[in-house]
Amino acid sequence: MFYKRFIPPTYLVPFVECMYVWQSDQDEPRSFESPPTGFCSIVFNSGSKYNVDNSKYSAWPTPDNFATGQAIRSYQLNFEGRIAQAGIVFRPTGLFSMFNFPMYTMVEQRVALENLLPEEIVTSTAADLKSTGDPMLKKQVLVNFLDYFINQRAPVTDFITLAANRIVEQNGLVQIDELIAQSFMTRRTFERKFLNQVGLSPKYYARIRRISYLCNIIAGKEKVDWQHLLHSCEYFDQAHFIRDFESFTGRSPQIYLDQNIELKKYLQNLT
Amino acid sequence: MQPSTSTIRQIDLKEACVNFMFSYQQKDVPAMLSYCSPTATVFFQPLGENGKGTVAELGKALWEGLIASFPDLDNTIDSTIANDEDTIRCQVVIRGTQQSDFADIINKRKGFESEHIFIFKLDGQGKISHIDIKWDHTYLKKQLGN
Repeated sequence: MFYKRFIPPTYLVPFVECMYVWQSDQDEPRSFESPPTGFCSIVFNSGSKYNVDNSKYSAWPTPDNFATGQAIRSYQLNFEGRIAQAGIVFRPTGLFSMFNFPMYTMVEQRVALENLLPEEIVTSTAADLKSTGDPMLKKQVLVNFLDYFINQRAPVTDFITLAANRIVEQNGLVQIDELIAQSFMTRRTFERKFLNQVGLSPKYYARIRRISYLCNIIAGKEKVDWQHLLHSCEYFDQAHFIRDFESFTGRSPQIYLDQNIELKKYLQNLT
Repeated sequence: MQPSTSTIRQIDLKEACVNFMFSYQQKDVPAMLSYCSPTATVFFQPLGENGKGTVAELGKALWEGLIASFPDLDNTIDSTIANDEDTIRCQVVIRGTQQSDFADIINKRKGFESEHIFIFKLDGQGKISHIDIKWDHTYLKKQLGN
């Protein structure tokens, strides 16, 4: 199993969290689980077919090359065999800024790239990725892909991008009213733009980032001081914490801790 | 359950539902109705049998009444997801301050903020054919001092 994460060039940083190459030689079924992370992605898959289990679907087949919007529930990836994919993980407004997708339409969706972007670009990028085994060359193919759209759209780092990125950086522990005040927009305008660019309301997105942060902390741990954790994550009380956790992960915090085979932690251990 | 290949249709349907909610935010009931088919039905679930009717009659009357009683009525869409090929689920926070009696809720000049779930069923033309609306009515009344 090989997983390599690449930091994007500086000019892409407001929009792109990272690029990655993920490969395995073993031809065996595997499953990986992830909580909602607050990020979106574009994935080029040249390995075995795989499907997704989430709150709505069981064994939902993914297109070969696709874009995903925000996930609001935990999901599980089920690979039938060999893993071979390269992808781009976008910061919250990245897909909107670079491709102009209305992001509320993309929530909990995996949409074939051919339905969203010029088919010749998608096909040639997928072919270039498939033609090389070198992770660095694959990374360059992904940068070239992004550069094509950067040149087309010249995305700007606006107030919504800055606000959403701040929610990411502060793990959701942020006062939304402060962000709105700093944006010089009315609450309604701010929320509408945020919905269009991120896919969710600012408060809801902050809740997801907080859960993502929390899951990251507890992943791989055998024991957790829940009181300390809910205090440090600024939950009002235990009931609020448990309700939030269950609504995004589908399980109680303790059951999650006992069962979790979280994708991110697994991949971190590989690098 | 397996989704069909109609992801693109789901995206179009989400736009119709979000525009419905935006019209609600603008307190523009005729615009809300314009996203619905003429025979569309609605079920305000916490109201039981009294909450069942057509969008054109019951829906229009309830929304106009709400807007009159809560002049600052506003909403925030938390998320919009496709439940299946024809069904969109909008999670929305609705808030407002009461200025006059509404149904059995006596005006005590208090405000409410309540999570609502709108489940929209859409027809082949992309028009809303049915809406199920759920909220915690007891909590809402409690916030309004009833």
